[in-house]
Amino acid sequence: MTRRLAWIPVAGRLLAGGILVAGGFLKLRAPAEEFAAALEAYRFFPPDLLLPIARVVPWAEYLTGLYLIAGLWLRWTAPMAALLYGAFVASLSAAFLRGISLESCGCFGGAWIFSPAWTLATDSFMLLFLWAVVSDRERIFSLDRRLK
Amino acid sequence: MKRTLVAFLLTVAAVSAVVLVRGSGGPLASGVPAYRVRGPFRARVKIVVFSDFQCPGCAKAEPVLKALLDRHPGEARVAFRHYPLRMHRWSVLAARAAEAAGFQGKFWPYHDLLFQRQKEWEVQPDPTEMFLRYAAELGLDGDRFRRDFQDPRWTALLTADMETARKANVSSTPTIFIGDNRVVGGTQLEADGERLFREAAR
Repeated sequence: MTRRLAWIPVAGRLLAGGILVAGGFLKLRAPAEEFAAALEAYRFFPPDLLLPIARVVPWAEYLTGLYLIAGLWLRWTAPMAALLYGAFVASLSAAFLRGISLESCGCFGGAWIFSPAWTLATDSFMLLFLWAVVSDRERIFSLDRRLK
Repeated sequence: MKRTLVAFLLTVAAVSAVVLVRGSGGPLASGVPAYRVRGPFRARVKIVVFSDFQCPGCAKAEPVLKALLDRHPGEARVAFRHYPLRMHRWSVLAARAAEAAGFQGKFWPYHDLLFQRQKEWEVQPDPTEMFLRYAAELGLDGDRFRRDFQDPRWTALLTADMETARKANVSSTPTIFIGDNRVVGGTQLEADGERLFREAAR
């Protein structure tokens, strides 16, 4: 990989991780009931699972995002981040295909409101970036490399 | 080993940051103008609703809340607090109209009308005339309504509600507090409202 291309995974980590940290943190700052209400709008998740999902997913986003930015245990955190973004893309696509009109994607709680279409585009782009992170072996600018 | 230690420290710092910024409850109903409160003063169940007149979820939750209150007549005292979301163009204007109706003692009928006709006024290029028409329908004094609609008092009232929402860690509508417990949206209210009401009444 040329020197310039080697920075693509780093940018991917910072961007994808930054979005996960912001989304997770803003959702964790608010009560889980708010995220559960946002998930409800997707008409996709079983009602009994809404609150448990709303309690667990923001922590997964927040911590995965932090580890991704720091470049820690990238062998596990990069696929985990890809899994999260994949789940977001799948949920949003399912809502679009079923003709469900969402007021907001609920990704950042009630603090920042983004349209579902914008979020779908961003999340898909992040998945591409994460593909670069997963397949990167050099892992420059990461704690994994520094603490080897 | 080093990596595990760094991961541990990072996780501890991250969890601490969340714990530090998480808000708590507080005296939610204090400072709400009397015209925005209904139900007996000594009711055992205190309900505080943070709502936005242009929010479709708030309009959907209204009949659910009404059904809950109808099942327990005279048992609850309900306070309404504005939480106009930025994504809704006419929320603040609707809140101002409801306040103007409140100044003439008709907040609740106006509140019901705004939710019932949400789809009608939210698509207007400027719903002000429609709000004036609703006021006339409820028999309000048109000149006074027009004057109160422009009254800068609403800014302070709205700011107070938003500040209370911030302290109570509210950022979504409708957020409904039944006693100390909260539900967000009509579905949660339908599923848990009765249980929370009974718990609050104990």
